[in-house]
Amino acid sequence: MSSLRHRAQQRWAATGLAARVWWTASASVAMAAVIALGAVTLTDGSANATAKSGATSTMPAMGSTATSGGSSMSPAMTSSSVCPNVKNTTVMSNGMVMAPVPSGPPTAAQQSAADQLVANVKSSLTKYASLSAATAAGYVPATNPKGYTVHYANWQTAKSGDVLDPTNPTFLVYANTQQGPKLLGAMFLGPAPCVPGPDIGGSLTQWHAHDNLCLSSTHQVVGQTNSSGTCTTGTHNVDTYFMLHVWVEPSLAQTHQFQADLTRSELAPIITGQA
Amino acid sequence: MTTNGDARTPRLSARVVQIGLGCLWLLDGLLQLQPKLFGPDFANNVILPSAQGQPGLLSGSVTHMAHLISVQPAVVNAVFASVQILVGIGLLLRDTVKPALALSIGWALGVWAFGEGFGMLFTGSASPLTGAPGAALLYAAVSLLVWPAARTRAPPDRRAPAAADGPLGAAGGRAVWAALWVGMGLLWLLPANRTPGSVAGAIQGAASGEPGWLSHLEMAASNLFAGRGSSTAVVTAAASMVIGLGPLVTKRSWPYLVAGMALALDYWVFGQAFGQMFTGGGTDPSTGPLVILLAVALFPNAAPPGTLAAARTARTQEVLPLPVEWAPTPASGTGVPVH
Repeated sequence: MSSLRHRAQQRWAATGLAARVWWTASASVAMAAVIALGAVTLTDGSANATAKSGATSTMPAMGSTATSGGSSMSPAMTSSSVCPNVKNTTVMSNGMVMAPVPSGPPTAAQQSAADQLVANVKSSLTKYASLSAATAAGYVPATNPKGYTVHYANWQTAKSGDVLDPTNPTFLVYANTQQGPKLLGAMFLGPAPCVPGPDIGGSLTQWHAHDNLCLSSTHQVVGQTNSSGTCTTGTHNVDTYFMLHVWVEPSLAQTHQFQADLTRSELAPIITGQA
Repeated sequence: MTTNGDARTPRLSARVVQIGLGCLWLLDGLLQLQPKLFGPDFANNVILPSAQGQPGLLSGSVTHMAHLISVQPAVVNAVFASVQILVGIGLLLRDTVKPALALSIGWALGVWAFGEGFGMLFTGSASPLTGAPGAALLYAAVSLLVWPAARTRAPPDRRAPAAADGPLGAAGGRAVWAALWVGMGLLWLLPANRTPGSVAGAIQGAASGEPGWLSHLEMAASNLFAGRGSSTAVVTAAASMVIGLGPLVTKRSWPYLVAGMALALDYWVFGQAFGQMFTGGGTDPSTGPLVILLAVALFPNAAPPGTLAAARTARTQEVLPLPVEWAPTPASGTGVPVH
């Protein structure tokens, strides 16, 4: 033992100044790391105790709807874990929470308002036909950029609180087609979390939310809840915004102007360039 | 470049690679000091995405690591930055190379597991274009290659690559190179990387959050590859295999090393957007510079002046033993055999 110490002392004596400083700094960082680990563990323990009695904090949500597949109008099978303040919602099996809308066909005024909204959005989105124009204007991917469809968000617009402003959509939706990104339409947010926007088109313009998304702190969709309703990645979107799509891509604009999500069969012709 | 022994010829030695590696670690440490990373962004945007698509156990451990970091992000980030800067400085000082390399290997493997999710290799969607198999794994590999081996009495072969100075030797280095590039070739053949939109999509993803000039460059490249993901993947997979196996099966390794460096540079610019260093949230320069450093470690050195001619002569004699009959005839001077 003493010889080991002797050898260590000899080596230390033979070590240059710079190396001595390095070893000292390394020891300091190692100690700091141990202290940090202890602090993190202790803080985490107390935070967990607090979290058990509190609610999850969340942020605006938006859906990766078109990649979910299946019919958007599948029967309600679960109860919603989001927005209990909105009564008479319909919860779909794919996690969509549909806001209530007037029953029956739209009135002439509602139909006209809906048509006008589509026309205005189509007109304003002309400048975003190319994805590069959108990214230059500040739109960034809010869902997986490799997905069949990608929602690009302008978070400055989201903060502005504008509702249904056709000239300033919060989201643009592009499809990754075989010929490159293709603009499908826009998506608008409601005025506040768990508050649907105005039903300007009656039953045509049904707002929806999602109760199964996992979001990063920067609002990006990073996954979906597992079977137990929790997120392995990110935070569950408990207080979500309601949203409304307006599709302007020609094959969708005829019949699916405001559909909450797109099925694979609806997307396939667009992806393959047959639409 | 360093000199070695009596010869004054500069040589790409293990020391050169150690210094290069030290500079990269220093860059990592400085990137880790960016303001964004002292907040929740580090856990949410750097660590957590690595949990996406991973098997349950891996996903759970990465998520747990992100959770721990998010408790005290500033403190944890300061420790991370300090360690990386220490490794960098340690590699630049001759006296501390060994402990710094040991720390480099250990830290890099830890980062590879928990920070990069094992380079996403278990997700089925890892792409060499976007950084697979992970920069951290390459830090560890290069560190191992240039670990100071025990000195022998025999003078070093001055034409040998830097990796020959290390414990694995030049042959071990070439095996690492082959494993890397053959592995990347196989990754290109994964179904997720062979879809028509895969390459364009990956490049688009890299453009996110980048400054205007880089975003435009990425989008232009993305448009170029739109709908050509399948053919690009197959061609690049084949090229990767050739680049990887070339140094193993041929005597001249430099063409394959240069091709590897060029391809890695393309990946770095277009698929990795320079490791997203310009977004304010990048934590390392990604795999491009590491692949280039690995190639440098394997690059054959030129023979010292004075010995070059002798070496050439010796090699010529060795390969082409000239029979007397092949001497040029004084009359014609054409070198026609005389029978």
